[in-house]
Amino acid sequence: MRIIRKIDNKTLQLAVICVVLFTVMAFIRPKFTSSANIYSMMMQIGTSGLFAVCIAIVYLSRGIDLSIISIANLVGIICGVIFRTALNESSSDAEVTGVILLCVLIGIFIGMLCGFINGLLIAELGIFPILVTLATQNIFMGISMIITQGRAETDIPKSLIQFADSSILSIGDFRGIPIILLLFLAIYVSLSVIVHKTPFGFKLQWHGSNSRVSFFNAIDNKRVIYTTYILSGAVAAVGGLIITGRTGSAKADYGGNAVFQALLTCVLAGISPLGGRGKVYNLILSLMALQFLSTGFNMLRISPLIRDSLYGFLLVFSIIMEYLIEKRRVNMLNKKTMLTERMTASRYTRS
Amino acid sequence: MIKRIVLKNEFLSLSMILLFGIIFGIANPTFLSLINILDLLKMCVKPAIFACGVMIVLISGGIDMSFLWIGMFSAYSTSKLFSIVQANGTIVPFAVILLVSMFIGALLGSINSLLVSKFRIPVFIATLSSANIFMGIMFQFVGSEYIFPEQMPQSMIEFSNKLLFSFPSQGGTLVGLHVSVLYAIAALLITHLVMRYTMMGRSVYALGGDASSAERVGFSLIKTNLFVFMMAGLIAGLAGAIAISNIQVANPYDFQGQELTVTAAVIIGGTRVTGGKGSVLGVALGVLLTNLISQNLILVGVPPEYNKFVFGLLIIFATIVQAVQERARKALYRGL
Repeated sequence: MRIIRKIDNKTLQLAVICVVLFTVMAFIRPKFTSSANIYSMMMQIGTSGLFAVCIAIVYLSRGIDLSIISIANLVGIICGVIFRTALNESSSDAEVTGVILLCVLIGIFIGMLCGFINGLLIAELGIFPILVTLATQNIFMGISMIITQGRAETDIPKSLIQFADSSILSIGDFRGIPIILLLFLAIYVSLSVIVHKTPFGFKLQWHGSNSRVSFFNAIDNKRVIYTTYILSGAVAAVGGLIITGRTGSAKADYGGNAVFQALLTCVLAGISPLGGRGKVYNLILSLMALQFLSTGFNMLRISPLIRDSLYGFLLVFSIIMEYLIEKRRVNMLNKKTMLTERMTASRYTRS
Repeated sequence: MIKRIVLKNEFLSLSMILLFGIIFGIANPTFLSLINILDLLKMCVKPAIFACGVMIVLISGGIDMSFLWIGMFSAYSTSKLFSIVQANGTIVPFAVILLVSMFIGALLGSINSLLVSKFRIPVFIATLSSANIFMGIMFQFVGSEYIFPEQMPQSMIEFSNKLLFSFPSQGGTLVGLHVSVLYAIAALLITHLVMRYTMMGRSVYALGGDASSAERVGFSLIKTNLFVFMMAGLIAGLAGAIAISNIQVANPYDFQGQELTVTAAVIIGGTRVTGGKGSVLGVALGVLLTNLISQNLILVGVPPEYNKFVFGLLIIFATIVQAVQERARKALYRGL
């Protein structure tokens, strides 16, 4: 009993959900465990995971970033335009590689710039994050629309597409681990470390749980906000580059429900939208659970609309479970202490 | 006195409407034609009614993401139900259709309230997931195919053709004020009266201002929450039924992805995102302003690709002005 309590409750829950989902799907559809399917699931986790990481760090600061997918598409489109103008049929391999590297740098810079704009509006003017990012979502998507006039950019160099599709450690039938997943894992691990082990991460969570207290503890709230949104923008830009590489094109309205999925992944991983609570390292488990679910439903030929609605059920269910567990924990505490009233009074939260 | 009026949010919205009206009028005289204005009013009906519900939830301190699917669910299932009834030979009056749709909407709204007040789920998350749940239930159990004008209940089609006063235009077609505009005005007026003059309405403001203070004063948070979400659902049901009648086709995908457009209009109208503040007049002006701009940009020669960009800038601009106003207002009252 004590060992179980020692492991983070949420991690254990999610691990159980993952194992159960995997076994059930593998049992219903043997094709689920085929190497091709596992490979494709890893590819998808690599892409959707990046957006979940963005939302996770912003959630911890008690904010929200609806503009990530617009940033990603904008970055993809700008890179597409650069490719179209800088490269042609006769460019040499070295030239192509150089331009790609340049594009990666420019793309991440644009992502950071977009994040900076979000941070500027939130920190300096004190507008609510949901409003700011709603507006910038429209603005960034609007810029993409103006650049492309609604068309897709398709002049993506072959080597980038090949890179996005490459993998390491392939053994026989199994195609190995996709490079995209590795990229995601690198970003994910480093951000987990940043959030949970560095002073910045501590400030971020403190700001998220109570910005007034953090202010009186000499934490530069504005700086925290800037850093958070710039980080989120940069990660979203990487996501945009990956989407461009995977699909071989860039368009203003790719990934319509990516934001909803990312929100869902974070809430499922126990990262509270009310700020300051949750562990970023749980994300990978909730990503896996959702991926098993969606791939499984695809295999069972359940329509995507029903799948979305089951996501909704899952979200509500997981929050209710958490609520019940929390309630039980509080009840157990109550038996020992007489702090009932104070706790329930301070636990009434709204958003 | 003048200073206080200038610092009101409604004043800002109104002056922006006039400003854009004049700019558009100079750029393209067709904008000021009666046909265009009547058309604009008709386009505002759906967002204006939806906005009432959004405003109530926003005042209570939450952001509602489910209202469009509640509206679609109730309106679609109502029209499906009565199209079957009609196929059996019974003609149902329009009022019954509206009432049934509103009833379904209120039921769905109470589910939201259960999630929020019993399980303490933040409103944004609760409504985001309930929107998905409602959508799935509708597609799975009610249907996902279009209902075409031939099968739609007769009274809905009649409603969509009703004009309050009409006159022939140059082209020979009849032009007039659509009757649904009256419904929108009635919905706005009733919301205003309820929110302003009833105890229940005031309790919503109290809840949004400070939940724990409201509880200590004696408001029941659970009751208030139930009222907020049932009212929002009821209004969404009404809006959905009127919107579906207006376009004469029940297309289950029709409202998809307009949540934030309506919410933005409500916020531009001066409703505070954290709750406790907002007025129906402001919301009406906000809806008018956003629709005025998004419908008429093309008239003044801005290509449609710029729509989203301009819309985003508008939200930023409106919120910045609000923030500045808030500061000035505080300074003014400190001086008193």
